[in-house]
Amino acid sequence: MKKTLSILSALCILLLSLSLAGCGSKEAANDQGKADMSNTLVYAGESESTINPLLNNHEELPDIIFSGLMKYDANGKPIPDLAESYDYDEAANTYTFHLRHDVKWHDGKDFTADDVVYTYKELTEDKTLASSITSNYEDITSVTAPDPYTVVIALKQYDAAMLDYFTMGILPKHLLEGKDVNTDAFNQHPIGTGRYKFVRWDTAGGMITLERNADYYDKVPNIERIVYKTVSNETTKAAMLQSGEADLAWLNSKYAAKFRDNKSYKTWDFKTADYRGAAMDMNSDFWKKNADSIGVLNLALDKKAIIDGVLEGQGIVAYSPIQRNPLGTNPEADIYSYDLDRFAQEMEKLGWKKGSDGIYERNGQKFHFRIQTRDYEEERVDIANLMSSMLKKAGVDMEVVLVTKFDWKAGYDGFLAGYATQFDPDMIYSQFVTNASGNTMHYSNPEVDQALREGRHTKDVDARKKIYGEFEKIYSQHPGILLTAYLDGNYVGIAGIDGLDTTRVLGHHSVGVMWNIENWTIKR
Amino acid sequence: MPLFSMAILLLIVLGCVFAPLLANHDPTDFYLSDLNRPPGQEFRFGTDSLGRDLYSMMWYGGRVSILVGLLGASIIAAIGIPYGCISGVAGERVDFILMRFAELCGSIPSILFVLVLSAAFGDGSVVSISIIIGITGWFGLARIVRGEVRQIRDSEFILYARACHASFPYVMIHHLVPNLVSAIMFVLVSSISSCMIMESTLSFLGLGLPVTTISWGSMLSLANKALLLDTWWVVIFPGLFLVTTLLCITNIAYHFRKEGNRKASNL
Repeated sequence: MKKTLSILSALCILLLSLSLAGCGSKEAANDQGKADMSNTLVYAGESESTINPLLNNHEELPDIIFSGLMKYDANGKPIPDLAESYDYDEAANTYTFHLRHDVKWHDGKDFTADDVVYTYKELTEDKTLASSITSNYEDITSVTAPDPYTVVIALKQYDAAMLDYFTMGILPKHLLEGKDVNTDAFNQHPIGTGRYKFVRWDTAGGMITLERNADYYDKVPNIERIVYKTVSNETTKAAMLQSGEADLAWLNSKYAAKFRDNKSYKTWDFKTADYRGAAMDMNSDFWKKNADSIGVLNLALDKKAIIDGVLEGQGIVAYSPIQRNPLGTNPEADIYSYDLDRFAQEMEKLGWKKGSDGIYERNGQKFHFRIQTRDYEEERVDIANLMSSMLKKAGVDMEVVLVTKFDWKAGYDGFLAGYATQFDPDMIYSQFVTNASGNTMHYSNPEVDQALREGRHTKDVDARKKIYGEFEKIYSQHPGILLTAYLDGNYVGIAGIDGLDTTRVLGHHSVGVMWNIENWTIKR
Repeated sequence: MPLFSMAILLLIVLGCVFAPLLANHDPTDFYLSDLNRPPGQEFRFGTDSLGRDLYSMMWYGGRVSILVGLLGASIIAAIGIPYGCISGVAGERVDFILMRFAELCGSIPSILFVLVLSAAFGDGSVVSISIIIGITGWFGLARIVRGEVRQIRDSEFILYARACHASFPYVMIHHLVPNLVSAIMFVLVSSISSCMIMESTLSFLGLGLPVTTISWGSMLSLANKALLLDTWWVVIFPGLFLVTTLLCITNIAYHFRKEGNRKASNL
């Protein structure tokens, strides 16, 4: 009797909790049903865990929730945004920004110069900040606010990319001062000055809701609401678009091709500066001994076939990390072409000999290395598998390990990487200069350091072009990344969406599509 | 006798065993000039979106799928039979604890169990996936074995063996198991197919074997993509092979059950 009673009570509790949970979700559903969805854009985008311009610098949402002193125009050139205007004192290397007076934070507080000072201090002085872009602000010596609407930023020396980097979103001092920016709950409930206001983050459902900022200081967006669904899996994104669960998404070229002939959808093909390649961890035991043999692997890769196979021809063969940058594209850096005979010769020169299993060996070590690839990024998995298969035929064993999350401590020899320098070529500084903030692969080459420093601090555009051309040449001799392809950015949306502007060259993961979101419209 | 099923199964198994003879392409190679080819003369079952030859993959993939089935079933037998025998022979209290434990574990949906284990220990190898499937699938078998053992444990031949100080493993192998075989054959054979199903499910979900290890399950994991790309042959062929094999195995298993039942009613 006692037993049955206790079981019964347990059952009751279970039922009760189930019915309560049911109520909760029903209410939430009603809530959404009531909202008028006709002027809402449902966007299927990458997974997010934080929304903070300091921590996430190549993602879509920080750009529309926050705004910076400057912003990029259609051609990727910096123009004033939160600043009405700026002066540059060449002798003193000092920028003076005259801020707008009519800017309010999304919580209603006034935006002032203190916020700017706070943000740049955080970026340049907080040693604990886990950001990959701090190296871009090395030249800043002081940030001061002589009055609430003026900011003076002094530099050590001339920095050609500084105006670009002033596009970084400004954080609210009144919400973050004295807190740990890396971990504060603000990152999941951002308050900015940008075109869209953060409303709600439904982490269980993977949905971030934004509303247009009616008090925005510039053109208020046409589209009232954005529902950002966090899906990383490319197949899921395509399926959501097909079933009407999403209105717009970045798809890999194979899936995009499926929507091209369909009248209910539109496709926008952006040019991107986004490359794919196997980035080697120069600190791994294998590459410490064999870094001299990365470049030669390019000879064994039929990159054109990879582009045709994986990308449906929507891309170009990559030879330099700044190839799609106006200051890049030095054809002299294109020193490798698919040539297996040359590959065999070069390998012999480097001292590699084929073992009985057909894999090269040197000093008793097999040419075997492991790169990690995230399993949901199908296009990267495909590229990695094709690279591995081509290298195998040439006698090199590149093992592709699929992971759900990148593990930087598991001792992989590299990962299938992507990166873009869509704006100033100096964007690669933080990635390639020894010990710079974004140099996760521990690349180090004094000649590269020298060239990138010189490029950053040179004013004349032609001189810079020459310097970056030189960098491309040096890098191609001693690469840390086995570059494969530059992708095109294929966006697919329902036919009712208008206003996307393909003038802009997009960044990594085809980010930046929302650069003119205020002009978009949606009709259902 | 389900001769038809046995013949089909034999054909498929032989095809997988002699995969190198049947395959007309390298199953791991990418034929980049022949992407998404429908079934035809050169690529008999067509190619997928990266130009892999499905026909050759099918035979090589079957090896892995059948291996996982057999390995998984062996592990189920290796755990389930001794466990059931111990429980059947043991005293009431030990029997109670052992059986409640097995029932407790058995009441958890096995897919959940497998997902947790493969997330924690799975390294994507054939052996590890078989072990994970095996150690989560033996509960039912243990219960049946225990029931059978209970019926015969007081028979004279067992009492005699024990009186002669025969060790438990000896009694189990020489006296218990031979008398159980017909009763558990159905469960054993169908556990081969349930292990294969589990492998396909896991690989389809991306938690089992990686796409680089060809199995029918990992081939099916390309199905999502294939549906979006309208390449039906990528879905149909591995599915057809898997289903046919499973049907044959189940059919054979049912035959054993019928046999077992008939014997029992003759007593």
